[in-house]
Amino acid sequence: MTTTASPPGGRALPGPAEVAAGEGAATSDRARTGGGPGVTGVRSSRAGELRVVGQALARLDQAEKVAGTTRYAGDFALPGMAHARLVRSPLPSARITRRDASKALALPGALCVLFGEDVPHNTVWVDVPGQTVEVAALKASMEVLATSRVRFHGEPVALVVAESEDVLAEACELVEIDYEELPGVFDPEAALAPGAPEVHDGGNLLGEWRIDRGDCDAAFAGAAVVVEGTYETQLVDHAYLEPEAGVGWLDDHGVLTLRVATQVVEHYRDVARILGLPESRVRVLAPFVGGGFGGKEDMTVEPYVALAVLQTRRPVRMVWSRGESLLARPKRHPVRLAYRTAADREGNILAQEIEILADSGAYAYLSALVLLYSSVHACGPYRVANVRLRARCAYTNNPPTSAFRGFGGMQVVLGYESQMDRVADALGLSRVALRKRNSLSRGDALPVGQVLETEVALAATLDAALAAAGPKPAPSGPGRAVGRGIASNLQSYGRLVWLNDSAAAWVGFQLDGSVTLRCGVPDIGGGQASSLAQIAAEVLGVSMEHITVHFGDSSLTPLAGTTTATRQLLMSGNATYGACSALRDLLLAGVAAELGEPVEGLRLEPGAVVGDGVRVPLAEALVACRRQSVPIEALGTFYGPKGRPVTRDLDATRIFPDFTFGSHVCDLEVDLETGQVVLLRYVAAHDVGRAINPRSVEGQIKGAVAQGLGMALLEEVVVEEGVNLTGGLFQYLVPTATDLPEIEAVVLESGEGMGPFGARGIGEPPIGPPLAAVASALEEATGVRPTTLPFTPERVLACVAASAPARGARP
Amino acid sequence: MTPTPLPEPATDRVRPADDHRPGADATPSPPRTGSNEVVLTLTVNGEAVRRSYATHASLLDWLREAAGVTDPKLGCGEGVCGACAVLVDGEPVSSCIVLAVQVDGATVTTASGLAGPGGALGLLQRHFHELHAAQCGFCTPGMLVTAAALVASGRRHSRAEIRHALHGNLCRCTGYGPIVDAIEAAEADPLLRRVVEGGAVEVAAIAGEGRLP
Amino acid sequence: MLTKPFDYQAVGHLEQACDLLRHHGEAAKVIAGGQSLLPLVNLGLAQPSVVVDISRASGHRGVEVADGSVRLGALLTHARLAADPFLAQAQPLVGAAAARIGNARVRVRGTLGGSLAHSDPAAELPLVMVALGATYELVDPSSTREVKAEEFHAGFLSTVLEPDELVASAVVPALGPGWGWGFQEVSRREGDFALIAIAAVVRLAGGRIAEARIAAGGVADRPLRLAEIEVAVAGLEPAELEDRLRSLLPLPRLAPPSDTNATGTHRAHLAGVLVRRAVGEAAARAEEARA
Ligand SMILES: Cc1cc2nc3c(=O)[nH]c(=O)nc-3n(C[C@H](O)[C@H](O)[C@H](O)COP(=O)(O)OP(=O)(O)OC[C@H]3O[C@@H](n4cnc5c(N)ncnc54)[C@H](O)[C@@H]3O)c2cc1C
Ligand code: FES
Ligand code: FES
Repeated sequence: MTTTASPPGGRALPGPAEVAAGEGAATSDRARTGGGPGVTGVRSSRAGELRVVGQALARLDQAEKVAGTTRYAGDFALPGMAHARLVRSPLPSARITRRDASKALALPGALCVLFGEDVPHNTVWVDVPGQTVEVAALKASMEVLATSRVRFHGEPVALVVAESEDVLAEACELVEIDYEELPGVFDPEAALAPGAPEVHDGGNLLGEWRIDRGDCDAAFAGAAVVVEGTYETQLVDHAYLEPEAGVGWLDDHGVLTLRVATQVVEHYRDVARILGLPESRVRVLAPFVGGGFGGKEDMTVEPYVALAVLQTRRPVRMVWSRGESLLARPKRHPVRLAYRTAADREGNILAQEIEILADSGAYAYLSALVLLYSSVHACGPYRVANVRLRARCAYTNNPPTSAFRGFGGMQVVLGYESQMDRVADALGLSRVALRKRNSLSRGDALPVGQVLETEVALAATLDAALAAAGPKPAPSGPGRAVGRGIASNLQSYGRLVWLNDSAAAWVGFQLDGSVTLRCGVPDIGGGQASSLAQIAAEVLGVSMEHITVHFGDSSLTPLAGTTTATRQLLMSGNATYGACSALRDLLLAGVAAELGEPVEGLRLEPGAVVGDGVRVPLAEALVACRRQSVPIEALGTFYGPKGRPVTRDLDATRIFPDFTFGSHVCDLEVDLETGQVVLLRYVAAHDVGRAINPRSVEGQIKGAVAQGLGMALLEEVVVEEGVNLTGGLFQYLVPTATDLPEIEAVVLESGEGMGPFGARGIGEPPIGPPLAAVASALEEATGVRPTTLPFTPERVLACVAASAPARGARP
Repeated sequence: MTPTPLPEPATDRVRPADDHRPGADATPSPPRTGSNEVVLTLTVNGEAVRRSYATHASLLDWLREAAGVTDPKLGCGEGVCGACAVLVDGEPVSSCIVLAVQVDGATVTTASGLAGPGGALGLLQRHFHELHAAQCGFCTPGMLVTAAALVASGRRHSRAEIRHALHGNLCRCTGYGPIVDAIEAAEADPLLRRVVEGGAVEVAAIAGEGRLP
Repeated sequence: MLTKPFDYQAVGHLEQACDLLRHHGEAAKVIAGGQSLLPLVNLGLAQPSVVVDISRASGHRGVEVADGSVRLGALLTHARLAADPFLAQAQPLVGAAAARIGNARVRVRGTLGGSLAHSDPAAELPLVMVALGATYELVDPSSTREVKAEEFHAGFLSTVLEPDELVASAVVPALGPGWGWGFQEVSRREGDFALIAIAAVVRLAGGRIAEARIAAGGVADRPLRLAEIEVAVAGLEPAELEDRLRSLLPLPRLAPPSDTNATGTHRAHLAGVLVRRAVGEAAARAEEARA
């Protein structure tokens, strides 16, 4: 069994002596250990003696999930419920010339058909930040239901509501919509060429970012080597197992309530705006979500369910089919990367010149922000003094693109890590050594100007990953070649610092000593709610089973912000930690008042308040608080680190709260005749700061790696001239259990994150390196580096063929 | 509280209010709108369930909408993802591409039917629980069903064999490792070993101690 | 609900189904395992108004081995084909191919007759039938007829079946003494339809290939016999196969289709590789059987 090498509590970072042994390693005098059995090292002072945090406990949500009793958005039904579905554009670019619902409405059981004109505020505005020098936002818009123009295949045009799903299907077919096809543009480069058809008035350039740091020209002129590379990533889908779904109804107060699969309950505000309702009259509930990965970050069914409920005054359910999900929900940006990298003879990276061009598809969504992430992360976890970066994203008539785990920080890993390999090869240096030599350290600045305030354990993650990987395996037979690739990365966690991010959590003791925790966090499968309970259990000295977490309710739980950007542990975790600490202090104060003793002498232990010679059982302590008029509940609000908004020309001392670093090793075997790739083994090591629940952390790492490997080798939404040809999971190739190797997660704990107990975010970071690690391994196996994703057998064979002269005619 | 009045329905493309209440239609709907129903009786997780429901319903629709058993999920409707997997007479099928009427009278086991007595977690469920084999949990009911069919063979399987058995069930969250761990642990569970002693067992037997002989 | 309403009738005998098909005409579809029909219905690509269910019809589930041939009932599931011990003995190629179909759930429901009638150009069972020179027994309301596999598969998802006709069984030759079989397939993921699949049987006599039957799936709109290759390998010793087959590349007259999973060029290349592997595998098995 090769699940993990880390004991509960994680693996210790090597001590200073060990780290120093690695060439060019950042000296880690602050290295911490999670305190697993037999691990030596210095404990994090913030962590203290941890009882619950750091334990690989079963998650709170798991019992229901494995029992099959969790009710996901689409599992929910209400009496008298109607059903809703969208009629979508079959064309990528067209004018709508006629819409007629009369035949659909004549169908018995059809309840209503809505067009854009029926939506109180049909236009949704999106801020595209930083796009003018004055920091004003550029406003992009899209319609809830298209009225006169469709810009992508699958754009919603009509909303149909019916008594039953059978009637609904028939009614949708009877809605008549005529189109006049318009010229479209299906490639971002073509979109930016003069005279290209305009997807929106005002040109196809949606967003642009630049970095000009140091003197690039001088650096290139003085370099010992300059390596160039271009890389291309594909359109990929989140492909969570749960398609978009939700049920809406009007509650007894007339509040429009939506129980939807979402990562963002705060969309109640957007829904209110669309409907022209006060924000207080819309409520969004997020039940356990069957996977999000960014795909449920933008609204999906929300506005439509809301409209249908208001129109019919009945409960309404909308569930998207897999085909709809693949067709029309925003996906990951295909990106073209062009890198020029300069280095001196010792392997110090002198300069990076980078161009990024991303396909935003037909609507803005979060494209400009995704591109900002690409720009900030584009040089990787390395010190580079001279950087010239030009990043653009363009409108096309392709499916829209938006948030996806890694959020622009992912695609660039393929670029910067391939360049690192190339530099090392050009100089005849070890790829590992080159990475260590150039690794960022605490106090260094990223090319955008942000200074790193916490430990950078990149070298330690490289050593740990390589140690866990062991020797490279031999090929299984003739005609086969084995390759090993390594890749490191950094990925931000927490939202952009000018977004005034905050999260709140409320925690209260019940009189029997059990704890109620309320937090608006949506739980999308990462164990978000359970982690909060684990933090509360630690601080309050109660066991996990005695904590109930109410989450994801925009009206009844304190708002905690989005479950995106690897921010929930940082934000809600800290909010919960704050609330629990405050509650503990209240409890101690109540007991102190009751006993007439100074509060300083008291502490909370599991089940009792304890002091010098006193021990007050929890139940009595709670009664004491009541008698002393001390509350036994507390609200904690955590505000993210703040900073100024950026402008198009990026230069800021702080853009993100902090970053997570990691290194991966991939072993694979190539059938040199068929190009088929077998992944043999995969190791991913990340410094997670502190593993609140090591098994959850490992789960995040393995899951992200699996998605990265899927993107590396299998997945692609195929779009031809704007027509999406990928209609089902039989075509969209999500990796199966036999496509993936045993993935080992190596958890390092520096105790240095900004989350509670020194935790760093880990949800997104491990998704990027697989692209580059696989590319690097394929290069070793075939002799030529693949640069266009996905690395299909066909492309792998092209590498084999390109290197054939070198290896002889026959493998 | 004086609630803000809700906006009036914004369109005239809506049928008159009374028209769409269930039963309000004087004339019966034509067959295409759902009057085509059939009464089926299936044994679902040990209980006989008799329901009249649309003839064209898949077994998945029938379980979820007619019988109220919502643990099998619709992930694709193509037979690919396995979220809808259930056991029909002990064998795994994609309930999204089997018509309910085709299996009238059959015995169906879903993931919730793998629970132990009194709703306690069954043996497989327990190992899934302990080893974090579920993250979002949407694939989990199908995974459990596939695992049950495997474990019921009574043999112990290598990790590679377990992976092979799982290849028709997609999981987007876990990378599969923890699921393989859980199945491996379940197969090694002394409780199970004692019952199977090399032979295959009824799926029900792997649910929980209470059902073990 | 993904399915659209239809009428449903189950039958006890295949002949009854033929009657119903004749009665209802084009709008009617027979359903066996439903593993091809229902995905199409769910994706909105098929919309029958009458569904005639033969999955519980009597008979047509036998594996009858007699006189050097094996008769396989149309209602045998892929799982049964893969696990049947008599079939494994008499003609192991069929079970080996069936074991490669889709996933376990598909194999539990999907039937031989359904797969043959669906006639997917990359499907395993039509391929091995063509390779083995199988004969299908077809029934209609009043008569039966026999059609060679190679003639039955008439194009992409198309066959010579009349609207009121059903596949009742397939008869394949048993694997005689001196014969060996090979089956090679490449797909994007395990369980996906093959990009290319090759089925081969060869007979060794006196250390040389006396006879070979080779067919390819995924290379055209239907499974194809590779007659030229069969001729080219005849008379060779197994050790000579590799070089001889390499010299034949690219395989003559193959122009496989492109789709989202692979280009035609890649498929053509794979066909060349897999033919060599499948024939080599078959020859090795034939040698092993003699040893
Ligand atoms: C996820 C998935 C993966 C798959 N992968 C593969 C694969 O890798 N390889 C492969 O070969 N197949 C694959 N299949 C298809 C599978 O093999 C089907 O079972 C088979 O093609 C059809 O058999 P059936 O009994 O299910 O037929 P049905 O779906 O019931 O019917 C299919 C067609 O045949 C007709 N038909 C059925 N029985 C008869 C008969 N006796 N006579 C005349 N007409 C009849 C029906 O009217 C229909 O048109 C896959 C299916 C799925 C869902
Ligand atoms: S929903 Fe049935 S297999 Fe995906
Ligand atoms: S746990 Fe989310 S799909 Fe498997």
